[in-house]
Amino acid sequence: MPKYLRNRHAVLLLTLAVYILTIVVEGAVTDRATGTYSFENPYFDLRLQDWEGFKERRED
Amino acid sequence: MNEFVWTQFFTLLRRELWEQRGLFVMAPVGLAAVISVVLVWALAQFSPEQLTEALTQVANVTRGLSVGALAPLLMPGAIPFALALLAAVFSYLLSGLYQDRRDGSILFWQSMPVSDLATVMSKVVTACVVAPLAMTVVVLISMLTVCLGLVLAALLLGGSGLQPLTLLAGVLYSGILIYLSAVLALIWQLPILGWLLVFSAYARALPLVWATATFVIVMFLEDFLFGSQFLATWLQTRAGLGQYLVFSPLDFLQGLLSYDMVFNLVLSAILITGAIFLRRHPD
Repeated sequence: MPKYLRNRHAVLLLTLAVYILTIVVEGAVTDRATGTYSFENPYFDLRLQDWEGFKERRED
Repeated sequence: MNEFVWTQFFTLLRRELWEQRGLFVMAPVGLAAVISVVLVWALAQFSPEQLTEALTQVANVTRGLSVGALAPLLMPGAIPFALALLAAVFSYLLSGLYQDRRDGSILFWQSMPVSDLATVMSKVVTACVVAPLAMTVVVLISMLTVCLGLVLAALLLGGSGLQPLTLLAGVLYSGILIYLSAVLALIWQLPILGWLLVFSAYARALPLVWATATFVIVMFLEDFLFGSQFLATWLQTRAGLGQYLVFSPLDFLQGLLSYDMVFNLVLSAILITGAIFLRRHPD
């Protein structure tokens, strides 16, 4: 068994990471409908794929 | 798998049912007793003429119906039991891997020749297959008692035209549909149950708070990092009641073999594997 799997915190983080990545990848591949809730808070609009836009909005 | 493994697994299932009979057997029996008392009290408020009229109405509605058409009409009687089952399963899985770490008995169980895989899977199978069976038996006995009461009342009051054999067959068939619906609903909810198992195996205290808080944080993190809300959407798809209802064995197979269910099982497998690894390394 790999050494990192002997640490329970690492096991939890790995499980959650695999879980969320599987959901996101499957959702993106099958184009699953999204948008259940929306935030209006300007401090919560970071998107990694829109990093430039985020920086511009910060500077405004 | 050899015979020993199966025998061991069935023994684990028997142990789970024996340990949790209060939750899975006595709770529905208590609920059935309360509903019976309320039903008898409600019926006692009517005069014999009104009861005869009501029985005639029941006979008119059920007359000419096939067993397959009658059974779905009887299924709503199981709704309070299904809600109680869901609450019981949530509570069972949340404490399933937490309680023996808390009281230290995990050291005893891990000294036995039973793998963590078998222990965790016995809890999953108990929640998804055995607990619905226990609930269905209680529901079936309750419905048969009500059915017998209706037939006796029809005989005593006379003239209703109730067909006892059709009613009996309808009740028995609805029992099968109730069981299949409950199993399908629990398998559909399996990723949520797996999530509870993970935190049952991980949390040192308050597993419900850990499970809920982490879910909310992960949901927000997904939106924050990826700009998507697939987790929230996925949770929303589990909320509708209609998708769990089974009106024929074919409905059950269609639900079980759908793409969403296969993906559901993949997600559940990830979480259950995590719970098994977490159980290997207690505090």
